[in-house]
Amino acid sequence: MLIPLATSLLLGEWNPFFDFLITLAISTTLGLSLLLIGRETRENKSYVQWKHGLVVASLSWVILMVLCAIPYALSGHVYSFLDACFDVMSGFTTTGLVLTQDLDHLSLGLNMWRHMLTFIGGQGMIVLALTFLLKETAGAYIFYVGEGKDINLVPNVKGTARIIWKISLIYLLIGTIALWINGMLIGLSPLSAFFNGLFIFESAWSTGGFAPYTQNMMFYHSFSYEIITIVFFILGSLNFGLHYAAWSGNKKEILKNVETQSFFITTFITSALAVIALAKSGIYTDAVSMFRRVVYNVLSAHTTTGFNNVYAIQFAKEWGDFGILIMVVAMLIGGSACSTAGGFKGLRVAIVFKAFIADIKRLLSSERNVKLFRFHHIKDQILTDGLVKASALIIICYMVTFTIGTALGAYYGYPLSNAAFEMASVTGNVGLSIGITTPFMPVALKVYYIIAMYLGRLEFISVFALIGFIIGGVKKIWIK
Amino acid sequence: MQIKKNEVKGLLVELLAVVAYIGVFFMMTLALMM
Repeated sequence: MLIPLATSLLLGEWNPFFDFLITLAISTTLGLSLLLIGRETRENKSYVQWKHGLVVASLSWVILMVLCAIPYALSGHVYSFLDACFDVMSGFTTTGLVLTQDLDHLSLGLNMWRHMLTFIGGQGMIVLALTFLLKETAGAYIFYVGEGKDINLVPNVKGTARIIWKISLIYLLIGTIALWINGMLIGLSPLSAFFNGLFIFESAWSTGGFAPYTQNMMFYHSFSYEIITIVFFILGSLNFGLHYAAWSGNKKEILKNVETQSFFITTFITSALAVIALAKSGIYTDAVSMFRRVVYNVLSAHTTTGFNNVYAIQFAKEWGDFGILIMVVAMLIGGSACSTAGGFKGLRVAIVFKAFIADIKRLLSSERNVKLFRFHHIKDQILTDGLVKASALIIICYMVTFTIGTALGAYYGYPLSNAAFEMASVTGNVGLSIGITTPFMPVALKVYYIIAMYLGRLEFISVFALIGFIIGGVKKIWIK
Repeated sequence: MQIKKNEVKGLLVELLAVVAYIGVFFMMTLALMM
């Protein structure tokens, strides 16, 4: 919060400055109160169990959502506190759907806040705390897993968190400079080009999709700007384990990894099908406009970024049902596990697909022949039933969340294809909109979208642990 | 925060791989539009 506060102070934006100051005061008071309440537990050095880690990780996201929504609510750019919470959750989960009004006249301080939330959300709040804030890391791994990141780059969790931030900050520097220079070349003033570069990089790397203007990527009217964003949102959607392997000298991992192979295949198929479908409709007549308007949006959907350079109404009116179906599939698959991306992830798709092929091979081979099936993800791994079950379960959870949300949208009178598009965007933490997400949408749909974004980002298990913990507590009180 | 020579190499390889990936997709669009 100190960075947007300093931005507002330096730029003389006094209203947002005081909004941040008020939020800082409330957050500090709440934090100190919680420290006092938990003093006894800290002194006893109580052992952190798995259930505690999962509950704390998921509950911290809810508390942070409410606290971080205060500057939005005070800014007067949202119709209600619920809309402010929606935008914060959209930022944290790197979704990118927006209910904030009049984005074009938002203060730079609040814009800094929005884009920082999405940047931090991409890396993970626990990862941030482990890197910069916490000294003690006893039981930290449990909190870290609770946030949906279960990769060990180095033996200790703090080291892993530091590597994640190191990779992100180095790319932040490169990406901001590239977009800053490009911004000046397309006619923005140096200061405006810098802030636009910083904001767009933060969104691209986190596969967030926020932009400082209502028109999103259309504002820049620049092919080179779009190409730079593609580079960084694809890099952002890759597994941090893959980045670490490449940076440690294992460059072949990029080609060998089952997740990059799966990502390449699914992005290639969805992009090619979208190009074929839209070439048939004759809307985009040359290869450059087809690449910019179709391939760009499909890649943005598949990496769960949510940058768009066509209007929401164009998806609904020009892309047709087949185009929408392709986008829905791309948004649901999403990027890589342990990255900033959402969706049910390329690794799980690859595992389930390999298990399917393995089952067919087993059926066709002799019953006496016991064969182990393997896949390569950072290291050679055996395709176990447990792994397949865990992957399939998460995919089913995503599909159930998506189906309920689509049905809810259809219940409120939206066309089925539009309801499915918007819900895939919410479940996969994408951020593309077909026009349903507005401040005037039904409140129940807003609440469901917030829950779905949250579930999609934390990958269900931690949130289910929190729900179980609450039910358990209520049960105990009831029995007493 | 120190950046080692090896890490710079890895970063460049990653950037190159993504640029090549975008090139493949552009060629695919070009081929399908012909």
